[in-house]
Amino acid sequence: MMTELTAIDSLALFAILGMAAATYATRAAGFWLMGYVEITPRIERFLRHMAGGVLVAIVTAAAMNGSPAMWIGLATAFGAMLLLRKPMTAILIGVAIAALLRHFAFG
Amino acid sequence: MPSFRPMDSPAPQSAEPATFTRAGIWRGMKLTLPYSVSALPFGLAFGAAAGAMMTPAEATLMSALVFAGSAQFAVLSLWAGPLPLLAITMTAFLVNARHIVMGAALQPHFAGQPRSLVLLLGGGMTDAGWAITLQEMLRGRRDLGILLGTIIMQWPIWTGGTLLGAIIGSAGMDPKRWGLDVLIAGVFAISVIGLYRGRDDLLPWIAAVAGTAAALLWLPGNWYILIGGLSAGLAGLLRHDD
Repeated sequence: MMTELTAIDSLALFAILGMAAATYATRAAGFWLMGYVEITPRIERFLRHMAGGVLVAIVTAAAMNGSPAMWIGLATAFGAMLLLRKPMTAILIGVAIAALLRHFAFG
Repeated sequence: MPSFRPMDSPAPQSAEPATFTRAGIWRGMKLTLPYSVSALPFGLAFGAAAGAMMTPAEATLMSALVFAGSAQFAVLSLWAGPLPLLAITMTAFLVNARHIVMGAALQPHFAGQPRSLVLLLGGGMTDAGWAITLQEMLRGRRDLGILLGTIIMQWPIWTGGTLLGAIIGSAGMDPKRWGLDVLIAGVFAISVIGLYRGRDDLLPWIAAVAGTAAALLWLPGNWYILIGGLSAGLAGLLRHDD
């Protein structure tokens, strides 16, 4: 049991190190580049919208590949967020709805 | 295209060099407290979701080294089978690309502090930490300790929350049955609401949905993430003509 909890797969380790390197690069780049490159408003807008686009892409993919329980769960979380403005509560409501639907209606 | 030239960006209003004091660290910690409280449930949620797909050690190592919530949630949707290393690394970069602009906004305020120290502490810059630090800099408290304070108040909670959540999540449960797939997608759906700044965001998001749908239908693998991100970035440029 202990080894199951503490095991680190080598492929997973590479994935984590890759993520860490990519993330550090984005954090250091702004401090580092400022001496050499001008970050224009255009670049700023591109980067900002690109990050939003990645989030939208992941939600779109989850919805397209998902089941009705996923659609209803997501829609509920989205609606709850607009009403309550409490992120964690909204997500948990969506999760609970999806889990209940799967338990009773969709097997 | 970015033009390569010596730094001539707007310098801070006063020419005083930045400091790095214990008082600054305390101030950063104090200002971050409300965010630390809300980081705990997100750390637990990430741990629980990740713990269903990887070992608690892997999940905790990821939180400790990557320390970037949205990127970590994002790669969970790719974490299956033989791990797609390139897609995972690229996704982390794309989701975090906003940091480049954030760091660039802070950099002039740290003038006078050793570059190596700035590059080290910059590695722990989060969205909340950035916002708190920049606000203090603009008020004239130009102290690198504030950034360190924001890290001290977030890193242990994010990493510890992940460990706790992952131990719970690893208890051999079916992630779908408990709606954890909805949890992951839900975090993003809600982040999108948080990112909304006005009508200028709508066209890029529609472009992202269209690009993603097209990529999912016609391209293999995980290209949809890059295509969705680029579609939104390019659409964001279209709206303006400067």
